[in-house]
Amino acid sequence: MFVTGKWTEDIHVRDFISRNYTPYNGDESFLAQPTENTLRLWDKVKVLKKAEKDAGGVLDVDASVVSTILSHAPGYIDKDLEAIVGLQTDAPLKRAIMPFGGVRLVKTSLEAYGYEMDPKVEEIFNYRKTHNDGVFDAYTPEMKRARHAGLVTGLPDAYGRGRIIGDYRRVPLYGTAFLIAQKRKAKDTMIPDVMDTEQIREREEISDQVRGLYELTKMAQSYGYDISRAARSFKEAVQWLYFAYLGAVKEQNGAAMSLGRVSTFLDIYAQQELDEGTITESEVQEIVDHFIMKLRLVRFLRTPAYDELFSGDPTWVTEAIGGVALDGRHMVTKMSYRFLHTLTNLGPAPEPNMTVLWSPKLPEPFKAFCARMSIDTSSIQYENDDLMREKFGDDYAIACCVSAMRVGKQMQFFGARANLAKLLLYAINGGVDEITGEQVGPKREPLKSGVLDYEQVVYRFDEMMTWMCKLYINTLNVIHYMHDKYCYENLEMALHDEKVMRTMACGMAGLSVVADSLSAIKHAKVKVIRNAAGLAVDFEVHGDYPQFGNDNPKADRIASEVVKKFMTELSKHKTYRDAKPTLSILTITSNVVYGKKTGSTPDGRKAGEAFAPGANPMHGRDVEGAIASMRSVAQLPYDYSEDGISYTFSIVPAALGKDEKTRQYNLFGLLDGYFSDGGHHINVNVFQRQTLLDAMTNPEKYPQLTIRVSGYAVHFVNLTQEQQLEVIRRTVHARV
Amino acid sequence: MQESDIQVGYIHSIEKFGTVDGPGIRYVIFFQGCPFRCPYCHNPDTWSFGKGEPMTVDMLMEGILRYRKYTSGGVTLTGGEPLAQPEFVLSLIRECHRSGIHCAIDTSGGMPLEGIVDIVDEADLILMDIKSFDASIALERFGIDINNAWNLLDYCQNRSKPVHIRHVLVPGLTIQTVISGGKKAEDYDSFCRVNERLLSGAKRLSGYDCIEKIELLPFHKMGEYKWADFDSAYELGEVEEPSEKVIDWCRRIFDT
Repeated sequence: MFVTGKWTEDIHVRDFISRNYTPYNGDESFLAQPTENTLRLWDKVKVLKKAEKDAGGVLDVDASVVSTILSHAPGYIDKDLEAIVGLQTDAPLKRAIMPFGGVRLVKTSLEAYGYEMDPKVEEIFNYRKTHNDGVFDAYTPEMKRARHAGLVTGLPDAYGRGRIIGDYRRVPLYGTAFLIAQKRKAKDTMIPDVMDTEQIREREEISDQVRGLYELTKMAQSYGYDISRAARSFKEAVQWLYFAYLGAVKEQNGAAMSLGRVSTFLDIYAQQELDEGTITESEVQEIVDHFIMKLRLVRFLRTPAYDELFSGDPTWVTEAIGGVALDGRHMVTKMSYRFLHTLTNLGPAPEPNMTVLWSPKLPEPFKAFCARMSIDTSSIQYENDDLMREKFGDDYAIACCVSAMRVGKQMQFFGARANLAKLLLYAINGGVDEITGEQVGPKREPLKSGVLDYEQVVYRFDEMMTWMCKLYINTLNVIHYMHDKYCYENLEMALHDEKVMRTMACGMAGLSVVADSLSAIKHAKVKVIRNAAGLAVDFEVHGDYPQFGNDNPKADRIASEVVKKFMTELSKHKTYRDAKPTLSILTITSNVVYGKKTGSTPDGRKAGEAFAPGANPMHGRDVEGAIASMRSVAQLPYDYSEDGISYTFSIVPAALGKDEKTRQYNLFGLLDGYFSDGGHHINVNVFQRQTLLDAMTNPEKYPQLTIRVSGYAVHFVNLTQEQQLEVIRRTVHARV
Repeated sequence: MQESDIQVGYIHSIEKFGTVDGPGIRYVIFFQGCPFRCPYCHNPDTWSFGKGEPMTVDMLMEGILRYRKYTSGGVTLTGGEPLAQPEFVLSLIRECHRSGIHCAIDTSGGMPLEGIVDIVDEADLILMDIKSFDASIALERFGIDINNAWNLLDYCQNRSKPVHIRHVLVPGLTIQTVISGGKKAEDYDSFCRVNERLLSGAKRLSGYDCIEKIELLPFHKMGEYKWADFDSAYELGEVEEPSEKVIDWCRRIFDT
């Protein structure tokens, strides 16, 4: 039996884990091969995935049923083979429609793939408003202009905001009956003297949450399981947990539907049965493999425009692995290995988004194992546990790519990102958009001088930033008010405490472009080339200037200052539900599209050229080598960018050392260095550029070739050609 | 301090992410200047003395310490021939040791022992390229008195100083791939028959306990392009890179 404690009386998953988990210090030699059933089932999935790709990316859509937790009858891949069951619809890879975020977007998506929305569904939305309708009813003309120009962009105003992680572990640990009872109890205490907006909203939300839990219980029933009670075995624990996650992805088409931090939790169940001798390692791994297979099948219907922005059909089923507990014990368990081992048993894959919470204090065999898996599969990202534990404790998980949050206790209002490179051009052009010629920002006298003056540009840039931050926060306030109202996450929020901490997660794109531009203006001569209308449309850079990514404080400090200034400005404004503003430096793959929509910049980047992803130095400009590039990124202030700083790193295998063992050892040495230097996140890719070029010409040879982009991974062959070329152009560190 | 008292080293370049010159990730300092002329040299641009960037120990230490978190392996001094700037190298190692940093010296083994004893005592690891097991080839083709290398090894043996040996496999120069009648060796035994010097060299090395590792480096022409800028002709233009089979045979010789 489990060691009892606070968790026995109240909902307290962390307490359960802390009292019951077994840290594992050994190596990977205990791991089991895939079972016969796993291989047969995976073969079936591979056939389905091939069919999906051949069909142009979408295998099938149910255009007549609005997806809810209970909308679809049970679905199976092969009932006899599946250890873990449950699909989003009644058939694998059949996508569902989720129009509460915005019905127009669903219609466009359906049309793009040759489907038509069932008139019955359309009829519903003659009477029922969506999140998207609400947002556009409240947007100001200025918000619409900034959005249209791509200054603030990727906003979740027509689709699910995502980036909320339900504490899916609560379902196996307690069963839904207890969770419902707890919610009811909480509601009974929430009877204030004055019924004001916030109190009314909270009471309504709890009722919605209870509804979500009821529906989830019924959904599990339809598969023949009673999840109203707690799970009694490892297999039940995985199944219960998966049902909870499945309910969430049936209800919400969120931008990122992350899993949380489940592996060490699940290890407790497996270890207990292993100790009792009622299960074998091979059986444990089979259940894990089947669970992971299901996570690899999560699909959402999205528009081609969305795919262009976030290429490769990502769902960000992010799972946080490892880390160190507050009491000093590391949290690596055998389950941490088993999860990563699915990359071997089932081959490399982008989902789930395996995220190792790194600390130099992790056991060496685990670090070596991670390094080996990175070298073999390029499917893992790493984040700095020492940095995050200080702010988020030891039971946080990662939403999407880099956003840490306490599981079940904290959520974020996802705010996509602002294009800072464009904002810099607004500063030079007096608020006029360099591409459309429209007045988007406040009208100011454009800079007239032939050569840009640093002090003057900085002054104007600050002024534009002040304006934009206010607009940005207000825009997000509108979006999240409406999302709560029309597209509330019943089930995900049911798996949170009643009182949650909220952040307003802002973001920036184009940091290295801005830093290099300001550095060029300061340290070289930047001549402006204007068009007939007097708009700065191009720049000539005379002389060399220090560039971000070379461990040169002259450039790196500029980048840090921009981050600090932006965060400081964001903090000044009142937010919806008093969310705490935060910032991420993350673009995912949208750096290509943002670049496309941005004119030439003073760093010498030409109009339309891609930005570097996330916080990366610009392509090919980090010439001082891998470590110098890491140092520049590591010095960016995490305190001012708490929602994460994404860095994508690529290296050829030979540069890591001569043989396999040396490469593993050196890769984990590099990670220890980067993280003890204060780096927050790193995507590790180990490949030859040649392989990618070959994959572009012969995609059929590389169905599972996986690479890390910014904050997530993709099957390389599923990227658009434009995205593929951008990846190939990135700096790949090599030493000859 | 008088200006003339300041020690200056001449540095060709620095690699902040060295993964092939000693254990772990290392900060690798390439010294400018080498008295020897190895025909397969990758870095002929490090040969001439009187070039390179003059740097003080402090200047180098600043960079070393800056990258300390990443270069957990330590520092490797290579070149060029670092032991051709002995006083400076000694000061640098001592300074590194004050900060607890592991120091490896990568040498051709060509410098006479008398001038470098203090450095060998101070260094943590010697990486030594044994140029040839044939004294006359070493002298004629590399400009190296191979006895200096053996003396250095003897000294390391006496002082229990760890050594990593490297030996470059160059067909026609350090190994023979052709047997009588101009045919290529097709099996291990016939290969051994024409490589007796290699065999005896391997045997001799096996008598040294101080040797922790022997790395056999198959010759490749990566550095050839650099030779275009030099007066000396690249002698190995016609030499074939050794086949996998030949490399395996050589490994077998050194393993047994």
